[in-house]
Amino acid sequence: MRDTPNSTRRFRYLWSGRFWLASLMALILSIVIMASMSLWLPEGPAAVDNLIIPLVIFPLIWALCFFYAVMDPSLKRATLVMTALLIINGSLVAASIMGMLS
Amino acid sequence: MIRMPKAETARMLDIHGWSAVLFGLALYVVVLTGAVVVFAHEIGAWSVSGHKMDGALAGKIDQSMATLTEQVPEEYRHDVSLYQNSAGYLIAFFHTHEKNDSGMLADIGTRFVLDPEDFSIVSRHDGFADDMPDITSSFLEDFFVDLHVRLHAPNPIGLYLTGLLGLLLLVSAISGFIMHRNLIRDLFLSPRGANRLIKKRDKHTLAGTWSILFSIIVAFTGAFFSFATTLGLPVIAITAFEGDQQAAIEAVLGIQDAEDPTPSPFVGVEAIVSRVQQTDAAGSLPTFISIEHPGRVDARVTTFHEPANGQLFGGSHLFNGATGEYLGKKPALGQQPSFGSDLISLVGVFHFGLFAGMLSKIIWLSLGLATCYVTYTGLKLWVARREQQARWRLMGRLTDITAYGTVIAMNGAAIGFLATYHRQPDVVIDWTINGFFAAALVSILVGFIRPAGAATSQILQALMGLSLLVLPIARLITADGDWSVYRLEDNAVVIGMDISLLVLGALFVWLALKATSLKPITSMQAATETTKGATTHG
Amino acid sequence: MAEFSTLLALAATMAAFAWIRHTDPKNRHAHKASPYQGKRNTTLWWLLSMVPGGVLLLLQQNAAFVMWFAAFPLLGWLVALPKPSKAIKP
Repeated sequence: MRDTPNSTRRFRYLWSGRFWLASLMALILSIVIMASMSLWLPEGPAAVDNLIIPLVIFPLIWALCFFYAVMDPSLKRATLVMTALLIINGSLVAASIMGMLS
Repeated sequence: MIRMPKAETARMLDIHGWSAVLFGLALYVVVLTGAVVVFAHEIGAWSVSGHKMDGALAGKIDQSMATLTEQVPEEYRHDVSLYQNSAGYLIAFFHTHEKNDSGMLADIGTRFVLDPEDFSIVSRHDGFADDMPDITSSFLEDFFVDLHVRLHAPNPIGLYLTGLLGLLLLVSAISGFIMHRNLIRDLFLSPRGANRLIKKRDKHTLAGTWSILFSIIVAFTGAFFSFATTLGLPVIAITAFEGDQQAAIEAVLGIQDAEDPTPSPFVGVEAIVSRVQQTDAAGSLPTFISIEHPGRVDARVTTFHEPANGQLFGGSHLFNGATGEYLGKKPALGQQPSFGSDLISLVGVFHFGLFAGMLSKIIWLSLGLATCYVTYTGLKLWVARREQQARWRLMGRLTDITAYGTVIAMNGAAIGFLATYHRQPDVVIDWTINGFFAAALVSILVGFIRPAGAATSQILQALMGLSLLVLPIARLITADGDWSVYRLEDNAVVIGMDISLLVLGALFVWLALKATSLKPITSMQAATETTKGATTHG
Repeated sequence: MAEFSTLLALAATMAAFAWIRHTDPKNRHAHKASPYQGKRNTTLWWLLSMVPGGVLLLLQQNAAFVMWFAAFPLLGWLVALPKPSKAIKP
């Protein structure tokens, strides 16, 4: 444990933006990226590549999101980047669900 | 390894340590059982002391299959799966797909367990596959596999749990890699004995560094297996198939062309099995046969095979079930070979390590145990740095109990299984579970009765060794006494398992004895010191 | 066959590892052995330790290659773990 002035507060991490970025945001973002990948990846000869590749690399996408949220020295930038990615991929997924892509 | 500002290094250290403190013990159980179930089939064959017939799928099976078909309700004759379990019994599952209580499509039908020699019925059950009682002959093996796959929690919670633990292992490995400043320089630094903490740290980092890549591979492939069907496929179905999961599954599996229910006699399993064994097809006996729409013009038979010598991927082969015509090799997913299909096969190769017989299994077992060792030494290091505080000494105790107790409990399950399988087959499942919990309880008691410290972990280690030594003896005592089964090729593993268990058990007992006899005084001192510590700080 | 080529490749890799470890300055220093005098060529020996895997790949021994690849870190650990004996000659 580090000796920060707050270190006596048990659940101090709940007030840290980085905690929410690395846990909830990383999880949601990685799921949304996986979903949107299935829309723009090439299908391949058997028409399964776009479905299989996101499924397989989902844990790696998550790890990337997680470590990015943890490692970026600037919390503000990390929040901006992840929110932007979420909006871009999320709107793609939403458009597909509403049938706007077909 | 990577130069980082102080704040990021500290954050990485926090993540590495605290994630392990919170979930490391659960992770240990999943990794250990994973390492053990690399040998699931061997455990299955060993637990019933071998079986009396190899290659039951090559037998004269058609007549019996026809008779069974007549005993099954019309709607269940849609599809049939056929395989020989590791206890030697033949399983024939006549089934179709219906929505279950939770609205998901699931297999429903009649499952026969058959004697491999004369195909007489050993047991019969009807209903949803998920609701059927376990097959007792493979229960020990299934019990261990289930512990690894879902920690015996109900679906899908169990899979989420193990998936999250997979992600945790990924985080531990990657954060360890980022944190370790002298990664390359310390690759061949054997643990220094300067003081206890340095030695503990050196042991942990050395094993951790070498096993980073493998940890990442098993963690990510394992998380994939947990999340693919419970999270990934539903999400992709919503995104790309307007929520139609069945359509998504069919697209992935490559469901064949239009159905044609015109009746046509089924060509039979025997013809297909003998055809697929020719070298221009698979060249080997299938391990699993799946028959779709037998008795119709559009009947299809798929045979599944282990990888041929030197190959990574096992294959599946497709036949026309009405004519017996060989339709060629079938990719794992989709109807044509693709990168995605190879990728899935590769994920399986790297996660299971079953592609090249005994040697690949031994390597995967060792890698799994190495990961367990890293988890254990990491937790012990964390505790050793904080042993002035009572709650961390409790953590150290729990670490020892989990590390050795998981093995002891699994051995307890095995003893419960062996004690009842031949004599009271009705209670095999109960006794296997009881054995597991009884042995777990013993480890917990032993772990808590004595003061925490080196001596307690050695006692647990000795107990683990003893429980391993008991297994082959218990098997010999409870076996049927029919020694002729050991002539069969499949059953060589029974004796092999016996010998391995004896050697392993003796090794652990010896290690525990050696540790106590080398430093009887220091371990006594440690014990009294910790007791003192407990009274002053507790 | 796959087993044999794997074990052969692993034996070669192990030899390379043993040499890197034998000449490792930090390890020798930490265990109070005299420094190694000759030229070390660490990079060369690391490359040599990976040659067996490359050969298996070239020969398209895929199963053997994956087994070698998986056992590579195990071997490294195995070689690195024991304390060096003080008697080793410089």
